[in-house]
Amino acid sequence: MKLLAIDTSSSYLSLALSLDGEMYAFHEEMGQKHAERTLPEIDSLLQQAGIKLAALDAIVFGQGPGSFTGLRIACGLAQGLAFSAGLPVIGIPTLDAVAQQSEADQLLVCLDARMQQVYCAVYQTGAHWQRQGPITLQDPQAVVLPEGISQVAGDGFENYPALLAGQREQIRHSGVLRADARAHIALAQSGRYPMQHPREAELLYVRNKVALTSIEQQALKG
Amino acid sequence: MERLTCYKAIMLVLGIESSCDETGVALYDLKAGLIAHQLHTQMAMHAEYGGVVPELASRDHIRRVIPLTEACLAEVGKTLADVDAIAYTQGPGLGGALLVGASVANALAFGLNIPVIGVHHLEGHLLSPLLAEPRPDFPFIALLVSGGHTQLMAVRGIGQYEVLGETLDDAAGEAFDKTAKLLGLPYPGGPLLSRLAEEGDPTRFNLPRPMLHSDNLDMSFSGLKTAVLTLSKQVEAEHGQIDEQTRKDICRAFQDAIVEVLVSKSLKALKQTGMKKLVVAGGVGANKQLRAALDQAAARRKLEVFYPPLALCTDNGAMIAFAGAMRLKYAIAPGSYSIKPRWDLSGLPAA
Repeated sequence: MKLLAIDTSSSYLSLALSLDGEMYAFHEEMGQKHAERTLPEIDSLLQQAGIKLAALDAIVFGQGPGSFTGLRIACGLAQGLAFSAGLPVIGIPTLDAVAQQSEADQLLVCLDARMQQVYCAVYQTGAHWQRQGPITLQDPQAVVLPEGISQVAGDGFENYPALLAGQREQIRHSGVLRADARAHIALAQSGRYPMQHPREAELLYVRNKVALTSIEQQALKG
Repeated sequence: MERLTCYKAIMLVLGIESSCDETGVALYDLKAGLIAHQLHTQMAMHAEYGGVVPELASRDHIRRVIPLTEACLAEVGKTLADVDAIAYTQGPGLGGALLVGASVANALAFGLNIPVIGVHHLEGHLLSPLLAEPRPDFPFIALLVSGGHTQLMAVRGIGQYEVLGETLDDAAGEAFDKTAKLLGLPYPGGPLLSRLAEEGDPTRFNLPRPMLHSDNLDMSFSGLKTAVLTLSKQVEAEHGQIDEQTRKDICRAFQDAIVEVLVSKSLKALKQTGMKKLVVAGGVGANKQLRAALDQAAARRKLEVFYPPLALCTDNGAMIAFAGAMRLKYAIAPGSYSIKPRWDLSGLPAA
């Protein structure tokens, strides 16, 4: 499959273009320059590969969780590119793309969710690759290491010392800190993620409570 | 920025607006005019929160832009291949919300190999009366009056805008909404307050006209809501509670005060510049009493007043497509883009 993957869920801009075996990638710390840099870097990957957008099979995007604004940059760009070229989109959860890069059989992924919280998910990797349950949002000190798991991944461990504080000696960090568009491509190629019309692209914010309703504001005031 | 010379002649402009709580998409044809426009308002979604929640606004925009674009194209039997340029609101507005329109617009244009134009949201409003018939010729005074802005401007051409005066605190529309909230009306209360005012007695209460006689064209509306609060408390102290009719009478007194200030300052701007035409734009431009008062004042003085079509008073994609079409000179190749949540209108270049 010929795929272009875009991930802007972190401070990195991660892009990958895969053409039946050949992979072109861009993966760099970007701060907040995603809007400025993404399309020019996509243009450069397409030129390196000598392929036109319309010749691709789908546009893959990191659907979250992650920086809210970042997620919408990747999603908006994927929608625009796909819609203009008549292509479908494929959304890949960020934590899945972290787990995909790790080699353990079982894995706990924790990503920094800011506001003193982490996004968590447990994975069965290898031949029976599967996420065990939904991605959750948790306080670092409340995260429990599931039985039998000793491998972890994601920047949550680096950023929150309270995360599994008493068990750090029993766990081994895979070294994978964040999503990488090459992992998105590998997962998209697995066929387990649906191809959708760009109008159906959905983001996975996980943190869904972002404001208080008038009634809740009143209740707080007493 | 790289100017474009290599694209084919531009006829059809797609406009995308996503600066606040309305997603608008439209198609403007340089020969046939506005041929399609679609709008989704998030008003109901934000009502529960008593105001616009920026993050929720952004989350909704990203789900609406593509379906609204499809609906526009379907409305006139066109495809994306017929679009020659894409205009989008680059600012001012909510950062996250602007970024949605900017991202989709740039990616669409990149994929279609057509140019993009970043449009100033207020220029969109300012030029929207040009989408109505009869359309005003330059120069004119523009009264831009909405929930976010209240400004009087001398408009001498596209991009030739001089701010003559503006509100020093709340925008007029904001004063409407805040006062409505204070009177216990559900969000967004402004339009409801206006409807109640229609049934109010204009002679019962009298509220101050802030800065009515100041020697400049600036305005101030935040004091009015305090005046309404004081008045409400007075009435409550006297009568125990505010009955339906009293509430309508208070609404009337409030609306009369705002309308009188806006009319008086607009006339002053016309007099000061010697211009004969007034153009009203922005959400409050839909206010019936304001329209009636301006029309009446203008008729007496042999001045003309122009309004955008009623459907285009709120934020919309049509004004963005149109303003973009007026600024094709500034169209650039899609690629690196940025948004301008704060952006001074008078800094725009002439077109």
